[in-house]
Amino acid sequence: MTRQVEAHHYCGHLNEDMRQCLIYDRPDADARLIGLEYIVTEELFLTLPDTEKPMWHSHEYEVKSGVLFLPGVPGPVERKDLEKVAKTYGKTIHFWQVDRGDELPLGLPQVMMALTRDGQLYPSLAKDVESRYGVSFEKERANRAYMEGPTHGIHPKANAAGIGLKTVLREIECKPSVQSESVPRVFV
Amino acid sequence: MASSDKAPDSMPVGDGSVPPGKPMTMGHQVVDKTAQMLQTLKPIKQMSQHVCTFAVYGHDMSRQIETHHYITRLNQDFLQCAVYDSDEPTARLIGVEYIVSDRILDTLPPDEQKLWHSHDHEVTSGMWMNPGVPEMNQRSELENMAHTYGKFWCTWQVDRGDKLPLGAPALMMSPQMVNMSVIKPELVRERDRKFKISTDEARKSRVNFPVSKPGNARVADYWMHTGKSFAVDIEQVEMKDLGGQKIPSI
Repeated sequence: MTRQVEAHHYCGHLNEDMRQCLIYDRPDADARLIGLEYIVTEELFLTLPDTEKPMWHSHEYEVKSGVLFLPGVPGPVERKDLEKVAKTYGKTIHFWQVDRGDELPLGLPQVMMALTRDGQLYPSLAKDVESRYGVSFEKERANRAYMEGPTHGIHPKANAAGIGLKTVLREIECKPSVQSESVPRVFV
Repeated sequence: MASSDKAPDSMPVGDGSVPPGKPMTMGHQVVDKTAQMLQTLKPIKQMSQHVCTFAVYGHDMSRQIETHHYITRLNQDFLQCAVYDSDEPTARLIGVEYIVSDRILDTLPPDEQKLWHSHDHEVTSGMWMNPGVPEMNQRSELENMAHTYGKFWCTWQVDRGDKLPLGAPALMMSPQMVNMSVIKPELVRERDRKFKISTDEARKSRVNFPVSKPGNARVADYWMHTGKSFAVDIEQVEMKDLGGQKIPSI
């Protein structure tokens, strides 16, 4: 939680219940592709196995606090979309830790958490975004006060169940072998 | 909690669609169209190439997939690719691949190089193809690509039947000349049929591509030198309490 990144998402719908997003570090032509995010409705989230849920985060806070916004899109249109986003869950994976100065995508993928309450976001990051885009998070918070999060409340297993996640690389013998778990064994 | 080489716990079957979900409503279509008109969308407009190729799961080389790379070149030595499982509007985003020149690979420490794979064979064998683009037009780009190295993380194992992107990201390998990394002929045939291209013809025309000069003790294609590969685990972290605020201790 001590390392926070501004992220620019370019999203497309696979269907009404799911979106997939490419994440860049800037909205510019020379932006670096730093990760991706999948976004699902609460309905789909609830079908995920319990072991999967911790890797997904809720969007209620990001939306209602105003920090998540669609640059250039008029408020009323933006809010039509964000009403729905507030109820969704996302799985975000970053591959390139540009914030620590990496000039190349080094190391392992990181499963990212979202902001989930006041006091987490570094004020300097917030002010920087507000001034560059001419937005006011305070004002947006008021405009979005009517929005609601997931119907069943934020699932207790989401957001890494309140505990952090880390990625570990494990060296293994090359497969396949007959003991391979990922290929179903067929008996003829 | 999750490992790239272990099958995820089960999910409801639903109607079998991947991903499950309702068709897009008019409301969402209107928002999307409005955004498209008003926003510049610069980063994604930089995608200048569509490549169809194949990849092999690092933790299970019997699993091979056709991939569609949408590639942006950032500079002479670096490209970034959004990877999909088809070239259709319904394509699922299955991962990201980064590509560097051999010159850049040689600057990386051994522990990092282990995560990268070579592209020599993938290109010269004809696996790596730009559908719709005549071979001649691509020649110099292909010669360049043959000397590059890739790092490809797959975040949605669709071929395993996952209805949603489950589990930990998986490290992918490139097609090679040996063992299980030789792409199954039926996969290549199907790809060629769909796109009306000929992998055989491409291979013949690429046969005299200059090969990469061997670098100093390159450790890419780790599995080929060691018989070992990699799986990825996502684990919960212990949270430290620091003056009333929990922070992860990593």
